[in-house]
Amino acid sequence: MSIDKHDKRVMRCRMLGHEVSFGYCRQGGTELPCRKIFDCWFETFDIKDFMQQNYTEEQIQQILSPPTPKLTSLYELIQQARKNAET
Amino acid sequence: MTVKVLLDEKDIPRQWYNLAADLPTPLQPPLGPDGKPVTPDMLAPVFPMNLIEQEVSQERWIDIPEEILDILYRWRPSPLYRAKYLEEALDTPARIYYKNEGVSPPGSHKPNTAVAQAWYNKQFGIERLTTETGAGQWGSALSFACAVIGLECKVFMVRISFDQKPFRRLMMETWGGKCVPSPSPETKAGQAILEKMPDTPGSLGIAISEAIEAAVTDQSGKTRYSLGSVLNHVMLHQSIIGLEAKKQLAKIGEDKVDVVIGCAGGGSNFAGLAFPFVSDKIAGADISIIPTEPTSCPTLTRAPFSYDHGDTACMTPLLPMHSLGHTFVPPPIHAGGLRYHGMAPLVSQAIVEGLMEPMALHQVECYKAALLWARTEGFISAPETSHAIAATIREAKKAKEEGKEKVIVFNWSGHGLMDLTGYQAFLEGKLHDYPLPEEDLQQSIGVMKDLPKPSTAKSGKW
Repeated sequence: MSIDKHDKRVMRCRMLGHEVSFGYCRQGGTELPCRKIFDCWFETFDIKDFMQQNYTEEQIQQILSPPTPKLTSLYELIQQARKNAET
Repeated sequence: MTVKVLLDEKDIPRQWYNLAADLPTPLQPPLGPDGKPVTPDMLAPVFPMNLIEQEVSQERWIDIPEEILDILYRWRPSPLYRAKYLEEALDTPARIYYKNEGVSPPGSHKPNTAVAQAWYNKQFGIERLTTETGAGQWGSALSFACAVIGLECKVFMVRISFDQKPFRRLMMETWGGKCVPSPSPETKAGQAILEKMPDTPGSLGIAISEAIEAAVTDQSGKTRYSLGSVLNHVMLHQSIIGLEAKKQLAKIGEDKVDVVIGCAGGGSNFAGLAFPFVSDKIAGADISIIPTEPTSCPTLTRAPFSYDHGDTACMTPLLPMHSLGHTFVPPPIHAGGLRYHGMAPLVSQAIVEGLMEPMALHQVECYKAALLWARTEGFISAPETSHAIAATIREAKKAKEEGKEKVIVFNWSGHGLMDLTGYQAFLEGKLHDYPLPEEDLQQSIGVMKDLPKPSTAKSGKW
């Protein structure tokens, strides 16, 4: 299965608040697909099969790792920003 | 019949309502990477202490400073409408009311907290705020608030949104906000991404990193960060919606509300209307409180795909679902999964308690509802708001079937004049639903049955 087979499919992204293509969800500005990719596309096509065909088990594990609570993630970003400032 | 129920400025609520004070089971404090609770001083680099105090407050009522009210009077109290034309179209015995939060200058409920946050930052001696935005609803609200309060505002707008939503970007700039496409070369976080992926369309995660970094690394100490949803103090500021609605309903003699509805993204507009009614429910009132969401990418009605059960400390997933051989259908959610969804913790805990009954709706039903709404009440709704309208129509039809004169109140959280492409797709017949076969649903429930159940704190009263 070609990895860009579904790229032109379009859906409204709840996070951004406008339409995006599946290509964006797959690439999403980062090296791995958006962590919501399963939740958003499960109704439309067999996203599980697509992911298993195109990503390693380790990558999928990484995508599916749970997000941290908001305040915790803000604290982590503060620490990261301070670290960046020192380098 | 009265169509608009107006409240005099002198009658505006003068205190915000804090649901945290009344939740039967208190929220668990968020834990840092070391496993210890995140304390107020750990957040001080990004939030002023006066807002952090609100974030952790257990006080039921918190005074709204007069200077904030003076700014809110530009559009508040917002009108409560009787949706008489929709009622007529549905031939329902229900009386439908809606708070029109689209009357604010940026056209949504977001300024209710943007103004408060900007004001508290100004009081703390802060001179500029940073934030991130996608389509720009929050970025424009904060730009507006900073303009009227006298702060600088820098908005890191996800590049794909920056390119797709030029009008919201222009709104921000009109109010004096500086809108930067993210990733940007202005921060080290942005630089690192651009170095690896020069043509990246960006993401909210990167934009948040940039906004935080811009606040934390400002050597003057006069920059802070602002967030438009999820956090407790945001829910607090939005409670003015429901508090006004209760006064307006009382003014026209509606002393019993049966159903309260709002769309729930991060939770703030829903919480704003609903939390004062949740207070009544905790005190014994018989009210159905319904947060709505799309069936695609559900956050309240289905578990996330990735994991389902926490350990006994409710901190880690047991196993990713895909490794258990599950189907790709996310199973119906249970309480333990809610904490992973990016939903406001106060909303999540209220659902865990059973104080709310989330409802998921398909997009075609929502757009049909939004069209009926536009052709009866006249307003063009934001796509998210259309979920609340669709749920309201369902409840109004149910009232007709039951022959009951129910009172339904919902939050019309904003206009959709910047989001017409969704309407275009619907009108051109390009939107489709993908109903899940019942057998798929049952299968996905079945694979969960032998897994350990999460330890979830709830009182068990509802």
